Amino acid sequence: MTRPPRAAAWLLERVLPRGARDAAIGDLNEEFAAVVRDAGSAPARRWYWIQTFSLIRAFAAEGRPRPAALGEISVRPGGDTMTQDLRYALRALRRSPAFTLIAIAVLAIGIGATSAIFSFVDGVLLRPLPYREPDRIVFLWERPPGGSRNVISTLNYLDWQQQNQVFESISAGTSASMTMAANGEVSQVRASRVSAGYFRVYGVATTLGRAFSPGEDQPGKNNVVVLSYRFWQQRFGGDPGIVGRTIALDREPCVVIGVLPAGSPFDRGSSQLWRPLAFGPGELTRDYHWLRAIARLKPGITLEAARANMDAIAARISRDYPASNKDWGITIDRLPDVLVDPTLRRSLEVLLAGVGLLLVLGCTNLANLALARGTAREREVVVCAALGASRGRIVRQFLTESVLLSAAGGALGLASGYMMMRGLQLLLPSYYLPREAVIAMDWRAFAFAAGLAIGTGLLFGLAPAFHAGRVDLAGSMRASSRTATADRSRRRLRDVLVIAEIAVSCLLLAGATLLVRSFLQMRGVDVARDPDRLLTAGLLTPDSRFSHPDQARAFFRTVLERVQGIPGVTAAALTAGLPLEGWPDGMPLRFAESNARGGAGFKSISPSYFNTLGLPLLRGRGLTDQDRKGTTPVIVVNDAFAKRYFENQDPLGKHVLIQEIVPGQRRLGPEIPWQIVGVVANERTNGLSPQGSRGVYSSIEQTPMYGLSLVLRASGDPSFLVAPLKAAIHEIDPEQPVTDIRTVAAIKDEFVAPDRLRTWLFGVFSAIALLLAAVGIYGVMSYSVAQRTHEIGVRAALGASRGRIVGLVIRHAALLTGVGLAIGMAAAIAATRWMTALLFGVQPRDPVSLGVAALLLATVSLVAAYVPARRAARIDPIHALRVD
Amino acid sequence: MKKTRALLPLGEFEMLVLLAILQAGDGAYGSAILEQVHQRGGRSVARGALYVTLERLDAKGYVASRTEAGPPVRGGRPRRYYTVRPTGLALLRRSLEALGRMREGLELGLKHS
Repeated sequence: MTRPPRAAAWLLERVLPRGARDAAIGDLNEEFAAVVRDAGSAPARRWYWIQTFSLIRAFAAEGRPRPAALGEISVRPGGDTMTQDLRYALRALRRSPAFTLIAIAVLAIGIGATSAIFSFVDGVLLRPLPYREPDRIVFLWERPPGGSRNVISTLNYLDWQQQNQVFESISAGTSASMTMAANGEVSQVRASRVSAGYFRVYGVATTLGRAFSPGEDQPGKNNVVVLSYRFWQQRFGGDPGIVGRTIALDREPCVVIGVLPAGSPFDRGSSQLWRPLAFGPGELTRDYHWLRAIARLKPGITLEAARANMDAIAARISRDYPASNKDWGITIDRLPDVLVDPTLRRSLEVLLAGVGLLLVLGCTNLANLALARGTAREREVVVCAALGASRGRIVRQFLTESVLLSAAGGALGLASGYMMMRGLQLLLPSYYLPREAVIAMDWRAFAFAAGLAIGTGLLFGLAPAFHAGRVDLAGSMRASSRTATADRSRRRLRDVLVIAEIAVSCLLLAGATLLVRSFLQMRGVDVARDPDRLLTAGLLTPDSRFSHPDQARAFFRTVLERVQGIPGVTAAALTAGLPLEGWPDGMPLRFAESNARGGAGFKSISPSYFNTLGLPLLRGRGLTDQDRKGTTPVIVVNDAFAKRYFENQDPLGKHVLIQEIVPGQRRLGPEIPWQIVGVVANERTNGLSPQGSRGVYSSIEQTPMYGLSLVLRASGDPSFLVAPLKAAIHEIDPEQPVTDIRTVAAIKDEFVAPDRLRTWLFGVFSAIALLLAAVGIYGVMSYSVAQRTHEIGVRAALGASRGRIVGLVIRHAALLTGVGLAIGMAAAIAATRWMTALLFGVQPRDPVSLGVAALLLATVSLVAAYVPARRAARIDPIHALRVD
Repeated sequence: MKKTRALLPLGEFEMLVLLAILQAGDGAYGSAILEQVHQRGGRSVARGALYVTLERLDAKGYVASRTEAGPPVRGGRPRRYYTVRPTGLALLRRSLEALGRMREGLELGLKHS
């Protein structure tokens, strides 16, 4: 049965007078039942709400006192003073619409921006994780000698699984791209292969069907698949009969057994479907590291106990299999500790601090405006006081006004904040936030915005309120109040507020210039020569596609030949990994001559790779077409590698022992003595830093791979190459997918997208801050000039030149600016250290950035002061002295 | 406080409500009264206005009320039944008579409607 809306009933319960309440609500409930019967439940609920408001409005109007005249504020003691305050405040605000509009706009922007950033902070840092008892979920890694975290080999994982006594469930996994055939359509999907216990570790149940049963991760039993809710909706239109249907994944038929819940983290992660991970005979190795593992601690097991248990297991493995596991350990991280990347955490903190400062600045500005308005309203206050209003009453009246303003600002702010939040979500790359983060404006953001609204109302209302309360009755009643003492202290207070504004703006501006400088440095980094002429594309191939490496060699040789023949292509290369996408493999290695051990990234490329990218060869030779199967195995090392391992020697001709990477299989072959033939400049593999990470390159002829990417250099606009490229590939193999077609410049853009967004946001914050500071200075100077018209007139009459009068005003502004800048700079120097993790190529105390910030602020505030100064200089002494 | 010597001692809406209570007879509780006004008056009135007026008439002593348990769908809240007290009835009569006298001899096209 449909029940009346609870919130409406709750409201009625509180608003209606006791005598009428029960009968009225009862009648409403009774009629509601009839409306539900006649019109359905949604219209009935709407009807209930309409009736509720009708009742509330009528009873509220009945209880309301007659309209209060201005004098009644204190003349009528007792009564509903709250309502009086509100009504009087409304009337006062309506009388100065410009002030009201500006105040509401400033508050709406400030509260909106703060709530928007807060929704991200809340979603990423504060909200509890959407899993059952997330504190019990851990990530497991192998710990290589000299390292801390590494992916796991199959046999090691299986040992952990069998020997541990601390995990309730444990799961290994790996992600892969699969081809899916369903509904007569073939497409690429992002999939994960995971152990049967995967969803048990997270404590997530399916919404349709079931998750994997124990044992389904054994070979022959793993032809089942679980879909994410979103994928089920998008690809199968939410077909309710999906469970039990068969789809083909990499040409193997799989039965859909379950769908995960809507809105779960699995809807936001990269994988769209999950298959049980059954290890094939070729994958049962100990030296090939490729798995990620998660586990759920048994109840009551501490992290320390788990570590002790796993350390013992690692020691045993290391003792039993020294060839592959000597000195390898196990690292355990609690999920909540590692979920949020420290840079993201710091970004959010810095942005929240920035936007919070902006809000404070907005409030300061409003306080300043309200103070100026307070002068104009002095007479009004005096009348109230004369009619007997107490000081507390007047203070409360002023506070009511500002809280009313900020309530309106808060309501609008919530709306604008929602839009800003959606906008930011669109601008952020999807992988940037952890999949567990739910970004939403719900009651938490609402409570936050409401708290801000009340807080800001009090913040900017207090100063004017206390000034109003301290008004000098006798002084103000005189026709001329120019000399009133309240006036002087109000002016002093406004000076202090302007200094605060300048200091806060200075802090924000310093942060922004640092981020902008850092971003410019990033933008200046060239990942490759002319990166916008370099087109890349992925040629994904399932492991099962080639039965022998020679087939892959032949296929990719043909691909390269065809692609090089496309008109407009000046160079083309194949690579196992594109710039900024990391090293495809990380390999332990040994030096034949010194027997020293080490490690480096490993990338298979076609010999044309360096030339296509524009990576200069520093020494020796590059790879050539003569380096093929059967000839001496050779590698080119990068500069970082040469510097690390051959500091004062010539690396050329030296031999490095690295195990063979066997394509399409989860195992390593025997050690190969690779001869170093050249040194190449550092490619930007893992980041933009020129230091690079050490790595080596081998020819795809000597280290064949099944999945490679293409890089083409275009003589003109690379977008014209997309269609011919696809055509060329499909001519060789119509079923070969060509994915992720984009330029190297685009790869870099995506890489720096979070930095760009952060810089933009902070830049916008500080631009608004600059504007607010300028308005503040302008307001104070104009006010002071208006107040001193008489005095300036006297000075002019006594012969002061225009220049001197301008100087008089500017000096005042310069003093305020100077003090504000000094405080702001000290704060900036103390605070920007906190941003170090976000800066690239710039020191947190970078004198250029801080200098630019100070100069900009000084210029803007002096320009803002110049306008009123000019006005002062034009004061006509005769006119000025004639006023009263 | 209104003087009972006024030509129309009751407001228009008060008259409507009192008449509706009389029309509803023994079953004159909130919803029934609202229904009477709605049906006979030919238009719907705001629920809030009705309840506020009932409260006011009660406070002035023109109507009396008693509560009785209602059907379960009311969520345990009783029905409040109204009856018109003699004072209320007398004022209603006076108001209607005044209206009637004012109307005497005028056609106002009422016969056609």
